[in-house]
Parts: sequence; structure tokens; C-alpha cells
Amino acid sequence: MTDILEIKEVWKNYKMGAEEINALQGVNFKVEDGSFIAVMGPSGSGKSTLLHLAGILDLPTKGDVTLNGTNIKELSRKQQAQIRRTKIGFVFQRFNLLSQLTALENVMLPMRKPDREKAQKILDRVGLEGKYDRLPTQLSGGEEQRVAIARSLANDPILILADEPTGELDTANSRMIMELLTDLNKDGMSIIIVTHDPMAAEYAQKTVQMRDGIISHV
Amino acid sequence: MGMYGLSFKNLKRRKLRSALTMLGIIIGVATLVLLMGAGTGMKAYTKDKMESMAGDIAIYNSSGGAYSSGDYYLDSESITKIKNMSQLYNIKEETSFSSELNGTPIYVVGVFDWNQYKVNGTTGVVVDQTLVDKFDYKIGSKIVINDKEFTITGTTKQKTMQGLVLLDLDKALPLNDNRVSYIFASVNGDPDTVKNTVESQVSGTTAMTRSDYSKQIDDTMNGIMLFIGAIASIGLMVGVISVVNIMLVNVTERTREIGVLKAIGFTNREVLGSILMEAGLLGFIGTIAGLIIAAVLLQLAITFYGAQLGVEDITLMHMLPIWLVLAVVGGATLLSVLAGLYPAWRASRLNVVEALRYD
Repeated sequence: MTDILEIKEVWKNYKMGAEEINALQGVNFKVEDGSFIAVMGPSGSGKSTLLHLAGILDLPTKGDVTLNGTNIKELSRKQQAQIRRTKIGFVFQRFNLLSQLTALENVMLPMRKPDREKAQKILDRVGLEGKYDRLPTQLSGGEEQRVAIARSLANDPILILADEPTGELDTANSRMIMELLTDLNKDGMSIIIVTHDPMAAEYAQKTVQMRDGIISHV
Repeated sequence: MGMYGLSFKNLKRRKLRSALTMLGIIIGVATLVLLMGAGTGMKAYTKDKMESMAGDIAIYNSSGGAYSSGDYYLDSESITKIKNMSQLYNIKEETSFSSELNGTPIYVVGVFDWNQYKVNGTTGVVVDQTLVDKFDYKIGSKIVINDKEFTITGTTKQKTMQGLVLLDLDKALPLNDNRVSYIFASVNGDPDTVKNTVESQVSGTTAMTRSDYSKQIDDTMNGIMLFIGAIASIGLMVGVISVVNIMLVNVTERTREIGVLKAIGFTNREVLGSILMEAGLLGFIGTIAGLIIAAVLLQLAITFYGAQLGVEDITLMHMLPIWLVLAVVGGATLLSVLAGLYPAWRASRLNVVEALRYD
């Protein structure tokens, strides 16, 4: 198995007001193609920061992040955006759909050439047949998160990164979302989720514990 | 979903806000176009009228002027000289003088070419609307000018400051001791050469060619239009500033959304572009609406007041030539895009991680 993500001796410091925060303090972490990993840990343990680096939303202060064979430090801003668009699918805790767009339009949003048919197929796959033209306000939380997952799949990514995907959902909906992610993983999609929720973490093949900016337990 | 569609949906999402912002642009553009349109219209109309002016050249006493009150006349010696010049043909005279009617000051013009005037009734002895209103004149009423009685044959809708009486030239000349205000003539050869010849050979006279007239109208109107344009632009500037303001609000409000767009792969430039597009659309739609309102108001003004102002056959094409429409639409849209520049730049520079945390 090849590694699609390698994080090597990564440090991340940032300032929050006057305070210097060491979010990551020498993290080493590898993700094999096709794996499903849950990153757990208390608030402030650095798990979200890890996810941001994996998705090139941020760059490490020190160390190397290699995504699909490319060190992200070597990419221009435009190339970073390009990789975010084509190789990575993001799923957020608060869904983050564009409220003025329908489910279908939200899914087409990342596409270079809007492909209605493909977007419909993806929505069908996440179980939203016939709800293409609903606005986010006309959908339940679970449905919104499924639209968000559909959006993350729009450009056939190699890796899905989900930050607390069940954080705002009830148990039934949380299970549905995790089952959906598991299905995607069975079809070969690599997935990393960050979660507080032990139930959600159970779906993953591997759980990584973080504490104080380092990986404490695999 | 392209950038264009997204910008448009963002405007639609905040309908009232967008509409109010556009209102600033609409009022600014409408005021500007109304004033500029009126100025441009008068200029184009006057030039059009001049084209139908009899002859290529007008000659008058140098002490007078193109718009003098008629107290200066060409003397008979000058008239004879002018009439004998071989370069001039088709010579016509015009006389105009101040007089009074029932104790009210009036202005009398001896007309040789009635085509310039729109007359109800027949030509010959024509009074304007001001005198009709004042003395309740009708066709057939008698008037006395300089002790000579005339019967009114027609009226015009035109309103003037003083009353205006138009008489056939041969009726008017004797009333003014046969003194001539203007001589109009066609010329053989280059009008400018002939103009110089006339001025040098007949001392005390000034000759004006069509291009001199045209230049004079341009000089006068351009100054006026620059002034009213500058005043009216203040309104538009206020509108544009409100675009800056509202786009800043929009961008701040949508911080998280912009973070999401970046997270799913929109480049800084694409974010910048979509905000600029939104500002541009605000300006463009506002400008079109303002233009339409101004056009409707100008047309109403022509319909209801055109005759009184003596410009009843002026058209919207005189007032809103293509260049003015394009300049206003292009200019106001460009200004709005510029207004979006700072908000757009701020949005594009947002840190993704921080933007995603924004509530």
C-alpha cells in the first residue's frame, strides 16, 4: 500500500492574541491509501490543526507534509487551491453549505465545469434522490451533512477530511453519516475524521489519540 | 455553478439591501443623465436647427452679437456693399427690435423663413403663448405695434420671457426704419475665406459661419455641461461609496462562507473576482434602472414642455446619444467594480482556518 499522506516531524505554532500556541509539537503520521482513520483527543490537542495541514488549509511551521507524493511547502497558492479542489474533499462539523444554493448547486459548486448529471448521481448515492432542488434550510441536519459529503465527492478526490462530521447530529443521523463514510471507504476512498464521539470513531479502521500537540496513542 | 451565478444569487439573497444600495446608484445616474441629457439634447438640437439656417454665413454689426438685443444694426452703406459682393448670393435680411404692446415690452422679429417656427394658423403676424396668455389673443385679434395695426394670423406654443411677435420681414422692416439686424447669405467657395473678405471689406461688421456657430454652441454648452456634470456626479459618488460600504458588510458577514469556498478549492483570485462581479452587478443594474428612469423623465419633459420651450420636435435621440449611454453605463459600472476592490481584496486575503471558525 502506498502512503497518500505523510506527516513528518511537524510543528505548528500560531499566535492567538498575545499568546503563542504550540498546536503541534513534532507529529509523525502516515495514511495509507484506502484507510479510514479517526483522530480523537480533547479540545486543544491539535487534532483540527492536523486536519488543516492534511488539507493544505494551513502550512506547518516546521517539518514536512507530503500529500500524494508532493511536499505541500513546494506548492504555490494557486496549486494549493487546485489540489484542495481536485484531490481533497472537506466535510465540516457545521455542514457549511451555501444557503443561497440548492443541494444540487452546492454539489456542483467545486466543479470546474458544472455537471448536473454527475451531481445528481452523487446525491443519489448519499440517499438524497429527489431532493436536488431543496435549499439547505429545507433539509434536516443529517440531510445537510449528506449534501456536504456529496459536495466533497464532486471532483473524485483521493482523500476525504471530516472535522467532527457528527458533532451537530443526533445519534440516528450520526450513525447514518458514519455508515455512508464507511461505504465510501469500502469503495476505496481514504478518509480521516476528527471526532470527540467514540461511537463515530468505532467505524474507523484505526484510531489515533492526540494530546498536547503530539500523537499519544495509535 | 459559475462565479457569475454565485454573485447574482448573493445579490438576490439580500434583496432589500441590494435594492437600497442600487437606489443610491439609480438616483445618482438618473440625475446625471437627466442633466447631461438635457444639455446634450439642447446642443444637438440647436446644431440641427442651424443646419436648416438659411445660408452659410450670418453678418451683423460688430458692436452687437449673435444674441444681442437688436439695438445695433447694419447701416445702409454696409448693406449695399454686402449685397454687391460676388461671393455672396441668396441674400436675406432679418430685423429684430424691442417695442411695446399695451404697455408691455415685446420683442419683434421680422421673419424671412417661417420654416424655423411652428405656427398654428397661418404665417404673417404671429404672437407667442406668453402674449396669448396675457391678453387672450386669438387669430383675428388686432394688435398695434409702433402705431401700426396688424391682424393676428397665427400663434406659437413657444413661451418667452418677454412677449414675442413674429412678422413677415416686409411688414417688420418699415417699423424699424428699414434697419437690418442680420444678413444671411450663401457663399461661393470656402466660407472661412469669404468671412474674412467680408470682415475686411465692410468695416464694423462681423461674419459668422456655420462652423463658428457650432463652435460657439460647443464652447457655451461644454462649460455648462462640465459644471452640471460635476454637481450631478456628487450624487453618483455617494451611491458608489454606499457600494463600498455594503460590500464590506457583505464580505464580513460571509467570512465563513468565503472560508468554505477557499477550502473547497476556490483560488484567491476567484474569490476576488466573485466579489468584484457582485459589486459590478450592483452598479450595472442600478445604472440601467437609473438610465431608464432618466429617459422616461426626459421623454415626459419633451411631451409636456417641449412646445413651450420652443423645442417640440426635439427627440430622445438628441438627448441620449449612444456615446452618452455607453459612457454612463461603462463609467458607473467601472466605478462600482472599483468600489468593490477593497472589500474583495480583504475577502481574498482571509485566512482559511480563521474564516472557517468565524460565527
